[in-house]
Amino acid sequence: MTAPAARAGPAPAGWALRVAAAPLPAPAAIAEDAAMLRAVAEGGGAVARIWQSENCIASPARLARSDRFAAAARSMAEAGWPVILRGSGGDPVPLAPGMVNLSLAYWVPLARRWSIEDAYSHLSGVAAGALRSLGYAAEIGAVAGAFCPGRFDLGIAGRKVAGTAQQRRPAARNQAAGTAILAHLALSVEPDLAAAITALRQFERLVGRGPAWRRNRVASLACRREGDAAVLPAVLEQLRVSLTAGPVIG
Amino acid sequence: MTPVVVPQDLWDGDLEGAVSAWLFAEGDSVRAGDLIAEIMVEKTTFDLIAPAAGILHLRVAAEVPFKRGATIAEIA
Repeated sequence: MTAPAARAGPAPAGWALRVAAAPLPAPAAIAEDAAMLRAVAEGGGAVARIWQSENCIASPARLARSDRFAAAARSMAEAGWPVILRGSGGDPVPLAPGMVNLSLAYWVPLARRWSIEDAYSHLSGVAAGALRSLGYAAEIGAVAGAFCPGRFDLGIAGRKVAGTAQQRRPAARNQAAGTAILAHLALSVEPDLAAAITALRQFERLVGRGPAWRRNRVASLACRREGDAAVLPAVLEQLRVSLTAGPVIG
Repeated sequence: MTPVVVPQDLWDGDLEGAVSAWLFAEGDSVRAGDLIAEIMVEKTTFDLIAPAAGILHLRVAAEVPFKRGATIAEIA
């Protein structure tokens, strides 16, 4: 499918951009996203973060209510893939060095009518713009058969390379009703994708979720362009360029 | 009675959302501003806040789909 075009936003001060040069410990990496949302809900400005995490399974918090969750999380931690809960939606996904995350936190007034789709279009548009500038034929839309599917995933040649999720919280400012938004995207640049997929399969099996996706529906940029050693720094730079070239939301 | 309404403009189109978790039970006392439920739609979690203080009456069970704009609880 073709995702709707993002609505143009106003252009106030600019994103406060944080770029982590090296993969972060997983709990700290995900906790910082939550802190960004909290800060925006409490009146802070728009923040963008580009980061990587050490190996983990990032899981929506609702899965912790499964009777099998605690044992599954213990097993995964022993296997070197700790399960980290987060407040955004979707399904569990693996995060690992070489997977580049873009997290945006900002506030919009209700009068702005910035829907879930608008936020996804903006976020995926930033990443798609970065990839296209590097010569990747990235398309926004659902990739059939991929894990954690969404209408605003990024695919290349029918294989998912990036997924998205959001968390939203009502937050008033200066007596105006509004919404604090955390929108994040994970892009497989050059992770050990086979290991990540195996870990996700293992976690899903342990918590009693059947595999509803196929290994060959996901890919990394490195898979698409073997031998390109400079792909990670180029993606980091182009994400920054693409983000700052567009409007700041909020 | 204050209705607890899923914002009409939270998403576009005919998608359906669902309560992924009620954080208070039927008949619980809530304060205005309490986080009372998490709504899930399109890989997005939306924190639903109590619009008033009072006794919470659930109108939609967890995981039951609804359209945007739906009244999913009332506070008496």
